[in-house]
Amino acid sequence: MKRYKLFKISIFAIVLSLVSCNKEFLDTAPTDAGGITTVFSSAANAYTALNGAYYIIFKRYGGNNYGGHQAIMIGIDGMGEDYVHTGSHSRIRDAYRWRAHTNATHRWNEFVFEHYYELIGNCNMILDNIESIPDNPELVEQIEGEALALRAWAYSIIIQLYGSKYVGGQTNSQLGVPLVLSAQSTEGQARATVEEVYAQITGDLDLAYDKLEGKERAFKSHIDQRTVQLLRARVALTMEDWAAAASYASEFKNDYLMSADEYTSGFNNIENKEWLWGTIRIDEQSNTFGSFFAVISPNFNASTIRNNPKAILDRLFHAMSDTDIRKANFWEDGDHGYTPPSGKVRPYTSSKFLAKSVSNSGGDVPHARVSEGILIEAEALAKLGQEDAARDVLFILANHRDPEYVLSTNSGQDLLDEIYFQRRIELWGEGFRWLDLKRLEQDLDREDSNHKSSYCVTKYEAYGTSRWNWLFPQSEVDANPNLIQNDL
Amino acid sequence: MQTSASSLDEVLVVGYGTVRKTAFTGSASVVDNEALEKRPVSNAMQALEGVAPGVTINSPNGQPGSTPSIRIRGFGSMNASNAPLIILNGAEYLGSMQNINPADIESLTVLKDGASAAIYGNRAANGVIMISTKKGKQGKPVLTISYSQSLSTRGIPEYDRLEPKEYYELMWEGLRNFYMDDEGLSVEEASRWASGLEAGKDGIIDELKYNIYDVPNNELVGVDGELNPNAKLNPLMAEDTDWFDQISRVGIRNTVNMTYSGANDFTDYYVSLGYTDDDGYILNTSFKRLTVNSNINSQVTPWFKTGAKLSAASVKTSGISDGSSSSFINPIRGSRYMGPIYTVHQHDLTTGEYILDGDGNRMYSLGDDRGAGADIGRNFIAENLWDKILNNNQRIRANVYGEIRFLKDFKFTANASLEYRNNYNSTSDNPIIGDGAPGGRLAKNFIKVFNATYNQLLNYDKEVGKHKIGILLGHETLIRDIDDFEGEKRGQISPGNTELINYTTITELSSEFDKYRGESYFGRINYSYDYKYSASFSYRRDGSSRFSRKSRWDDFFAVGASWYLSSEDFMKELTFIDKLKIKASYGELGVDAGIGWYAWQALYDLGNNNATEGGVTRATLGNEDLTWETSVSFDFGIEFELFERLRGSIEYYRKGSSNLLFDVPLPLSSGLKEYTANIGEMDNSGLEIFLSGDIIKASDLRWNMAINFTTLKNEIKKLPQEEIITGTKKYTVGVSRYEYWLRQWYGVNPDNGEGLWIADDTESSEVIVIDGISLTNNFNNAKYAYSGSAIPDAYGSVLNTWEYKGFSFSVLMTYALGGKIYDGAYRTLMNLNSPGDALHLDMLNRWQAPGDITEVPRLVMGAGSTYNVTDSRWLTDGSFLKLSNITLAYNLPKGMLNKLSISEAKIYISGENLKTWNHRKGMDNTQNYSGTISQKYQPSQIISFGINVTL
Repeated sequence: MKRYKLFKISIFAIVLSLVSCNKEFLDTAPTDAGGITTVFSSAANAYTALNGAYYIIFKRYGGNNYGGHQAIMIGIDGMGEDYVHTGSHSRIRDAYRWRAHTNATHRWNEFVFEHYYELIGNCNMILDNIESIPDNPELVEQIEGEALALRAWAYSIIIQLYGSKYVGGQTNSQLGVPLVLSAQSTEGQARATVEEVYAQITGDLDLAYDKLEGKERAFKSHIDQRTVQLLRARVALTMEDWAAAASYASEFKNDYLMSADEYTSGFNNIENKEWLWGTIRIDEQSNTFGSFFAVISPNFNASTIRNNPKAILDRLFHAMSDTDIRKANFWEDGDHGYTPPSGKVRPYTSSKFLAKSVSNSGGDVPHARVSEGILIEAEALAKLGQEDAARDVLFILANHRDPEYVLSTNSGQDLLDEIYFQRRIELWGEGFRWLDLKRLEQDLDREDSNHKSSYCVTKYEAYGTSRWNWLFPQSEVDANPNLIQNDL
Repeated sequence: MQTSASSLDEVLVVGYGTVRKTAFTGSASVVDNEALEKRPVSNAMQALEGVAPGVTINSPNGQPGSTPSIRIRGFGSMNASNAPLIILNGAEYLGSMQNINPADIESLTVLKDGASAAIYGNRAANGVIMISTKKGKQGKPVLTISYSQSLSTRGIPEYDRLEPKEYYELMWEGLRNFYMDDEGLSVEEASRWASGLEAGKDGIIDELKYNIYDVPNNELVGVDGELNPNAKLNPLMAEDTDWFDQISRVGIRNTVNMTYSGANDFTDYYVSLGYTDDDGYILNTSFKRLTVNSNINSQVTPWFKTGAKLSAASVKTSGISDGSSSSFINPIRGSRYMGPIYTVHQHDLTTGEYILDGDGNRMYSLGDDRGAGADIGRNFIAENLWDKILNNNQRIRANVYGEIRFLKDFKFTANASLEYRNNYNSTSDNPIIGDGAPGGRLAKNFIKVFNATYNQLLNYDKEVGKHKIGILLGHETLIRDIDDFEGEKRGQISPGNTELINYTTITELSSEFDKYRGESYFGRINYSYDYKYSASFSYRRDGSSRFSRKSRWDDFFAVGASWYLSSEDFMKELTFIDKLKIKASYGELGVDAGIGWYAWQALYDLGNNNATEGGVTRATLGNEDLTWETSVSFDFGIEFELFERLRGSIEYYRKGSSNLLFDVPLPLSSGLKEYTANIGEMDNSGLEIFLSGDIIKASDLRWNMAINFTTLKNEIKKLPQEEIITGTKKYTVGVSRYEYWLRQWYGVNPDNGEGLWIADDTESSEVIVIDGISLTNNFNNAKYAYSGSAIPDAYGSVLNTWEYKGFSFSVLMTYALGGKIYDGAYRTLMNLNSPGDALHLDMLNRWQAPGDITEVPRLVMGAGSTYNVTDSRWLTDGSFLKLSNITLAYNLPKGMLNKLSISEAKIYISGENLKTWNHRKGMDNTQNYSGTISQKYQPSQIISFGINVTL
């Protein structure tokens, strides 16, 4: 009897235990990530996806040399002649040496490509799903406008790296970059022509301009309508569409220009009214050695700053007037007083960009400023032959920076050269110089200067060699059979 | 140490039960506690080296207590895990092996074939290692005490590198050539510049920044490229240039274990206490482990049995950073690549005297006076002494069960295995030098894990005449909850205190909770007739939370059969055959490990904020169809015993994996790098031979020799795209996953010393033709081709054991034949990219003048990446022979012991990892299965002395 009872209990236990757990038992969800449908379930949620896209601008891709767009700003300036390494410490040095973009397997080369396409992919996700967001149409429109502008901005940079320059007044059928406009496509796309890419950029910017009409932004880390206007002018200048560039840029000459005090206070505060758009860096996201200021500032205590403080090209320095406030950001004897303990003092070093402190590499980073708009207008007017107007516009900026500056009497190429000079000293370190060299078909010339050949390796490169077009990263070539590599 | 000869009724631990060896249809290797004792290692997995064919282990990290990685019969997965399933006392063990005291282990059983592992179904595709801990044995209570002490040193020597004299000379030559190339100077002019004879130029010292000879900078290397014959090394500086010496020591390990155990008719018990204190051969590396273990089982009534195994472990480690080989504070990397002219401490550059701080202590070099390639601004010795990487983890595990027998042949068992594990990491970086500078940085990370396995098993065992049948039905659930909390702050306030409250600025603060769930149903039927003919059939159905509802369940089955020929009457005639068994098995298995917890879901990452505004970024593409990776294993083998002297087995295995969990590369232009999908098929096959012979079998002298031999062929059968290039390998159908795909190095152009590769685009303008081959000096135009495999053609071990009276002496050699190593460390030493980093001795063979025939291109400082690229030049024959272990043990005579009331006592001396013969000094052949070399904390050479006493 006892046995029998036991048997029953056992069978009961077995049946109980063999019964499946309920269906939800195997359903799990992460706490550090969210599903796509949640992200686009409301405008407020989609806005976090937009902020994620802005985050990518300063996202760090592994090592210290891969701090998003801001590392690329340093690389692009470094590939020109105005930004000088004074020591051998190797931060973002291969770009400076022209050894990164000419090597398809170089990680820095891959990082640049990966960075902008990740940004584009995130914008594409937003644009793919924008229609399905059910609430707050006003905010949805703003999100859409910003995503369009961000995507256009990213394309406007990479098209200049991988494609041959856009030549104004003709159809540019040379190969550009893959024009990916939807996050759904995972098939490798062939390169669109430079013409097609620019058509997309200008179209997106026009649309963004309309969408952002009347929209207020909470933070200057977001693109607003005025920023779009500057981006339109920047793109038109690159397309050598002088009339459009002059027209888009015309509104900036009446805008705020920073005071001499502000100009020498470190370029690290987005509240500066001359800044149209920038990245805000809070301490929690300083990235320490991956920060912009951990490479380019004179004051943060990093090996690269102690051993390789960054300088301006000596002849560019000497070409500046002593009364020009911009000259005050560079030090012929290197004695700017910011050198960290045991750091090297090197001639012509810069104090334009200052880290928050010797132990805090944080600081906001500018992506668009009013002065660039003025320079664009002056250059475009000069190209259009409206030299009087060009001189007047140039005077507004140059005189503001240097009270002794008198209205230019140059004309023709001399006037253009003067405008280019103003661009170089105004925008040093902000990620323009190499793009300008390529746009203006100028040679890279670091000869007879404070560039040391063992640091820079490439001292001279005539414009137009195959090395002016970046190689696509090998990983893209491998995974995208439709992509045609640039000439070695 | 090897699978021991089995008597007929010997049993083997298999999944959810045991089986008689004669009736076992699969393939298993057992390491018993006696064999474990011969390998005085702190991590039991290290004892698997060389013990069984088909089992490969890579060299363990030199970090005390670290676990080597293990592969059983090849590499079934591409991106999912290739690690075997570990079963500890019947339940999956997910913790670290370093938490288990090897002294508590009764046996390690490696299940290699598909059929015997199949009862673990989808988790067992990479094989199973079953660990059983000790239990009490019938008889009077037994107390054992053991103690051992070990000394450890670096197990693999450093590569041969240049001494200061040659170093200065070669750097000079590189600089001179650079001036010739880049400044267009004549040889004479460039030589003057390099020697520092041009006004305002310091020449080579301007690049290297450091002169440890007693002559002025511009008299150090003459225009002839020779070091000044009158120059003498400054003795104070020269003695301070051996960086490895100053970061290393002789490591000491002490291990004490105590157990008492016993059993009566109703209850058996086993209790142990163990303590290990292991200081590694690198300063500041240590491992301390305290374990308590108990195992109590009681037959409460004739039909009810219950028991519990309780164990607790506390492990504290202090380590160094060698996780990433490029880390500046990795001392292996740092000491390997530091130029031979740089000092650890600061010296007066004229007198060479040490510079002292206020307290009279030598001050560490802050690395500002070094060349670009010598870790400017860093000092890995100071950083390793001042930084702290501490890990403190505790584990409590309980296995409890109740077993009911009913209706004579039925048995029902309910098992619960519960484990709590805490892992507390603290990483502090000093405020003076390195990543923590300035200000100091502290990161804390707390991980709390709960693992539970519940299973219910119903067994039916019946024996009718010569027929024996066993049936098992079971259900199992797996629960894993992981809490992860981490924070990082910068700005240390008062020195010495490394708690977060003592820092100012939060740079990271985050927590995360993850969970994993699994559920399985399974069954098995074993049938045997007279133990002559045996068959086994098993089935399992598994579900995993890593996959979507649509595709998370999968079914698997396995069959096996064996024929014990030597029991047949017709074999009786052949008296020299003591034992002969033929077996074959087929099993389907799977794997879901190695991919993300939520791999199927399309996700956005949280926490990617735009300053103060919350931000999310696109993370994964998602894949609702993602499901189990599966493999089909086939095994055929014979086991034999002849002349009462020779035992062995020969087996052929083949494992075909399909639905590989694959991180399929996406074009970067799509905005994502990859997505996970079930694409691809791969095969592993090979032969395993084990032979053990008693060469001498006298009454007091025995000599046994055991040989392991394994071949492995790995072949990709199907891929998501035509080819996938990953690092130095390229996956295509028909080759192995470890097949090198590299630029084809040709050699050095004798005319100008340039490196040459076989040209891809032969029309290119720079192409030259030598011996009818189109060559290029531009690596971007180098042709890629398959260049051999990282997998050896064969590998195995030879174990010799001599026993004479109370003495036993054993020597274990392990070997690999064939296979290639991509020696990236050697490549780095052959690179003159930046002045200041160390150079390999082979650099002396560089091209110097037209007509020189050499493999080393002309030296040009800064031109490293011109000729020093990833290519076939760095492949090296991977064959090696290693003296893995020598043990001499002596059992003290009983007569003497009895007087001391001791029943047994043994003393031994043992050496681990004593010597390796390979194709390049310094190369660590078994570091990675992929054949690549990183700057890992190299395995130790360990000499141990120990004593075991049983009362």
